[in-house]
Amino acid sequence: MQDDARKKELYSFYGTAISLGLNMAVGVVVFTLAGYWLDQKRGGGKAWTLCGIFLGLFYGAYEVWKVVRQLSKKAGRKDEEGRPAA
Amino acid sequence: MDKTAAVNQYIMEEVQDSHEWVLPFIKVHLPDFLSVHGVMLILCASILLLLFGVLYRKKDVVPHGLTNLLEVFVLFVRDQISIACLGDKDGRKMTPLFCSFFFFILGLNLMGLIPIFRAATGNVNVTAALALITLGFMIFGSIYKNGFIGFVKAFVPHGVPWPLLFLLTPIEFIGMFIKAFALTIRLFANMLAGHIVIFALLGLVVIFGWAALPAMALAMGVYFLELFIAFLQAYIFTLLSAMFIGQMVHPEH
Repeated sequence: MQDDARKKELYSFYGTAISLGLNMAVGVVVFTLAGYWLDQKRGGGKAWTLCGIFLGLFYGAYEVWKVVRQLSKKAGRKDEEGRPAA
Repeated sequence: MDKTAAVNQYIMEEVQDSHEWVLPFIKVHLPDFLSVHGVMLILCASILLLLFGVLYRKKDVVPHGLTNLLEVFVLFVRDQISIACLGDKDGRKMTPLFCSFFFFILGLNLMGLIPIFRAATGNVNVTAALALITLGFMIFGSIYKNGFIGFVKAFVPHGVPWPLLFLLTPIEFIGMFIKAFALTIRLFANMLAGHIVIFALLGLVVIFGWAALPAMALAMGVYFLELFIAFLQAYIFTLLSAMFIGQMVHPEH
């Protein structure tokens, strides 16, 4: 049962890592286009496009943070398993 | 028209969808409601129906021949993708969907490598439709399994300070659509780029003549790489679909 949960977690990590690069790129494009669309709707300007770019970059950073958190969790568990019993 | 423009035009005709299917010596004009990529989809679905409905012998106690070959892939999708991402109970239930994804995409990718056929997975509409199915299962599967409140809770990340939740929860929600969009682009771009590279390398021979003959060897190499990519992309699309559905149906707590 615990093995099953570990396997699922591992696959979830692999998937996140595989899709990370493209997700970051698509995130920036989607948020930027949404900002551009808002700017066009409001009759010009660049404020929303810039907000979109920053949100897209933030989304990318957040995705990286999720992978790093999963990695540290795994590393922490490995440390615990490797430690001799007191 | 100069040679470069002719090669360009040929490449665009080969990778774009149209109502004219060019076969050796004949041009088939398709009706308005059907395009070449549509024909590829119907052909691939028919081949899969023939393979699994007629030629696959379920009743054999010990599978051999074609049944054995297909079973290797089916078991791989079930054990290494579906059950690994969704757990034993849900994984077994969802195996037919992931097997359909895997074999359909693999079939379309491989058909694109046969000269008289075209790669329907190089059409963004086809990959978007496949990703929409995944998105549908992510949303409705999660609501079905965890209820609407559980579905909303799946977007609340754990282990972050609560003021950040106001920013991260909407981003996680939009992230669900971004993942589906990335799934669309990944398959589409990989298949389209591979075909353009092969045609461009062959086009060098048309433009420069004998001097560019070594490009044929390179095109051959890229062709075999494409063969590998056909399998890889089918696997990646299926794995990521299973993983995204798994993340929504069984969110982390």
